[in-house]
Amino acid sequence: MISRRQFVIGLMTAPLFWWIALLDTAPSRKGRTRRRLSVMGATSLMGYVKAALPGWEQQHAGVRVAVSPGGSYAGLKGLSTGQVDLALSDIDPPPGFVVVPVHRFPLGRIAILIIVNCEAGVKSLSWHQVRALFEGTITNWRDVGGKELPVVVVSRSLSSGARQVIQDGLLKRAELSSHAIIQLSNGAVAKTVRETPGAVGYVEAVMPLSGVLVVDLGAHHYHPANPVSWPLYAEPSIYVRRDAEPLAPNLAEYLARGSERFRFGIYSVAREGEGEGGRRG
Amino acid sequence: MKIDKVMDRVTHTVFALFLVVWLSVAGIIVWGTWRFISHYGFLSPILSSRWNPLAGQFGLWPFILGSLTVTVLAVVIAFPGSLALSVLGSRILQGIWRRYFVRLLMVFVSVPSVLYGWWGLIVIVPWVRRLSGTSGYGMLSASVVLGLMILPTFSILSLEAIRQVPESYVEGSVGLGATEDQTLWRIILPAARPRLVQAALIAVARGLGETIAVQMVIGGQIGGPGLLHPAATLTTQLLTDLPFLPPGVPGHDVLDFMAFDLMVLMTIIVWLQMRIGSWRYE
Amino acid sequence: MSKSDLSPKTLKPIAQGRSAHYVMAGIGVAAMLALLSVVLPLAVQGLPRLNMDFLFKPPRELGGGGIGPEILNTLIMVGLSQCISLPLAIIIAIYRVEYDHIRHLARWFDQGLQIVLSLPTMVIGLIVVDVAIVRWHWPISVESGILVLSLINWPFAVFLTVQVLQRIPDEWREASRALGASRWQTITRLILPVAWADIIELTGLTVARLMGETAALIYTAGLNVTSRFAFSAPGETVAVHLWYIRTEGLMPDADQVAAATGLVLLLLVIAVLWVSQKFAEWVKNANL
Repeated sequence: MISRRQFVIGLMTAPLFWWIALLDTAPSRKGRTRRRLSVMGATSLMGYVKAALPGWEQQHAGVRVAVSPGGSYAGLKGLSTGQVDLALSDIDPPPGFVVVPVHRFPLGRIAILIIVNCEAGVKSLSWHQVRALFEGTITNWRDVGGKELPVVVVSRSLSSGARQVIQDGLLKRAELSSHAIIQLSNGAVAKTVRETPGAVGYVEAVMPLSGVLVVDLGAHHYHPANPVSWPLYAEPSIYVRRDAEPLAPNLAEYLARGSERFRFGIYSVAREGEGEGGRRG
Repeated sequence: MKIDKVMDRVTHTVFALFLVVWLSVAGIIVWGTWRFISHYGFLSPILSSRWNPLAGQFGLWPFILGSLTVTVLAVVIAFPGSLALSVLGSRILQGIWRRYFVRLLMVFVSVPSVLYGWWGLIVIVPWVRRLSGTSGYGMLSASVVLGLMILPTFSILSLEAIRQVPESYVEGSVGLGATEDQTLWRIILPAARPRLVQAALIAVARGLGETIAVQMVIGGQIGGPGLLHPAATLTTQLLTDLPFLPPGVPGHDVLDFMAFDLMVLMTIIVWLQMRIGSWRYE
Repeated sequence: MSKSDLSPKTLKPIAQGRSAHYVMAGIGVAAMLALLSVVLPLAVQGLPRLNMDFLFKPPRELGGGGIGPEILNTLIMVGLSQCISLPLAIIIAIYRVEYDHIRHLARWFDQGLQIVLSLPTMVIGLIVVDVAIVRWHWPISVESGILVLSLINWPFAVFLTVQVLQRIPDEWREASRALGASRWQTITRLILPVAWADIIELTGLTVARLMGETAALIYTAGLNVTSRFAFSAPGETVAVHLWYIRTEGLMPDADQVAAATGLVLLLLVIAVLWVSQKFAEWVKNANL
């Protein structure tokens, strides 16, 4: 029969043994390396990757895939340093950014939509108006034919591919309004636009949008069923090192082919200009 | 005693480990800072307010200002509430009520900050928006959220401070014919003042270090001046830009520099705390 | 244990001149209500969603999932990081209080500890990303999460334990030494048995704090879970999951899931506090 005191002391020292046990397993990590893949990159693709992974993991029992957000830049940098096996990116890497030879698996396109809060009272905007809204030169919806309501710009952080597309394709040289609210992810932008009267923002169309108005851009109207003609889009791809072990390209291929991606707004186009970063309006 | 020798050795080893770990943490920050300073200088990034990592402009002033403003405002907001809660807990409630009151406060101290941030999103942001007509995201919302978040910590520490006032002071005061109010204002609170200030400083430290709850409501962009525009603090900017400046990218060192700034601010607070700890009530 | 327990009966307050007290009570109740307004809506919104499926099923991106793996991850990560950091912290605290080796350095040690203690957790996350993940090639996983949590917890636990140990009167130590006990005997037979109850109670606080940690874990433990637990697998905790749903939130029922997740997190925290308190009381009342 142990006394309460012995019990308590035992309970308190048990952690030490746990710890030693944990130390003991550490050297075997090397052997497990091949059974583990890590994916890092654009947050907009996280939903799709997380949804598609269980299917792949079923085919490859015992392989574990870690998904971490971090944005396209972190993913590509991690790929160069060998920290991750697959990088998800919705930007073309700037020259000199990725220093190792890589394979690129294009996923298709993701439309980037301009969304406004339902109370703003506008249904369509011209390119010019959208640019002025994001620049911050138009500060009231009345100026573009809406209600008397101040404009609130919602944007993504610098690491986002969508922001790059908006910057290059829409704003060109101009700078984003300095009163913009920065959100870290697509979903956060959509939520903020939905909940803030007079908000305007842009999201990648990876999810069904409810409670916000997708505006027509000039003559273009966005149909979820036929997004091909929409002028603003990102071209996400998966990057894998050339010298990677076969599991990584296998996963990349699985993800690039997966039929589930259409449910996450990724569509493919006729491959005429493959490889060219055609993200122009 | 043999066991004594062994345990001495274990203790020394663990202590050495502690020193090594935390000195190397400080060392990593300082090293990154050094690399940053040798490129961009020390004062110019702190005083400049142009933040554009793409163009190599690293002005940290808006973030430092944001951190300080939000934190100070939060403490100002939390101060009356926590003073009231601590008086309630130490002078008004008695017996079992007091015990449950303190336990409830303990629960609130431990409520994860995500929950406070979320509450800010659904309650404070719309409220500020309705009052001011702006987007609602900004320093004011962040301060209110942070104020409510540090309120329990602040109250518990103030409660401790008031409890430390010797009962004989109170008895003396009441014995001389002072009313309860007079005793509270003239005797108890002045006697507890150094510890109250210390409590406020600990609350400031907690507020400075908070990331998630603030990030959810502050807006994240260096907007114009004023409390109602979106802003950013050092910690939220660390969270936002870590993906943009991953290790290996030239600009990554600025994150170390931001961490260093936070460390300096913390050191100042700790130093003040120690100085105030040696005050005595005359 | 302390002398303040000897305080005489509080005097019966007189009825006049208490208006400021009433004002204080009013403000205090208002502040309490404000705090309650943070948690009560959560309970109302989240309760209908809280069932066995939600507690044990893995999450699903398109709605209808649970948070089973997240709960498991949270428990394991917090538990193991406590196992690592608590013994280390107790030893450091013993060294600080019971050994006189660092007497002249004590002030420096205290200041350093305070600074380390108040470092934003985000900074510790940054360091772990820099060192463990990039330099040592640790995966973004439960392991890295445990490392982060241990680092966060270590100085905090040291600080709390030092406070407990310092509350023990010096006369007791002197008596023990005078009776011929060695230093280690004094510690194991006198100091620790007296301190256990308080240490356990404060450990509850540290556990609760680790459970709510988010910022430092986002880039170190990852944002997803695998179907089977492993140390090298990504380890999203409940708090991180809540942040993810609330901000990214693809699911159609995101609001409800977020509320239920928050409720689970809150219940976990309350349960930890309650258990540690009961356990501490039990230890205190046991004849050690």
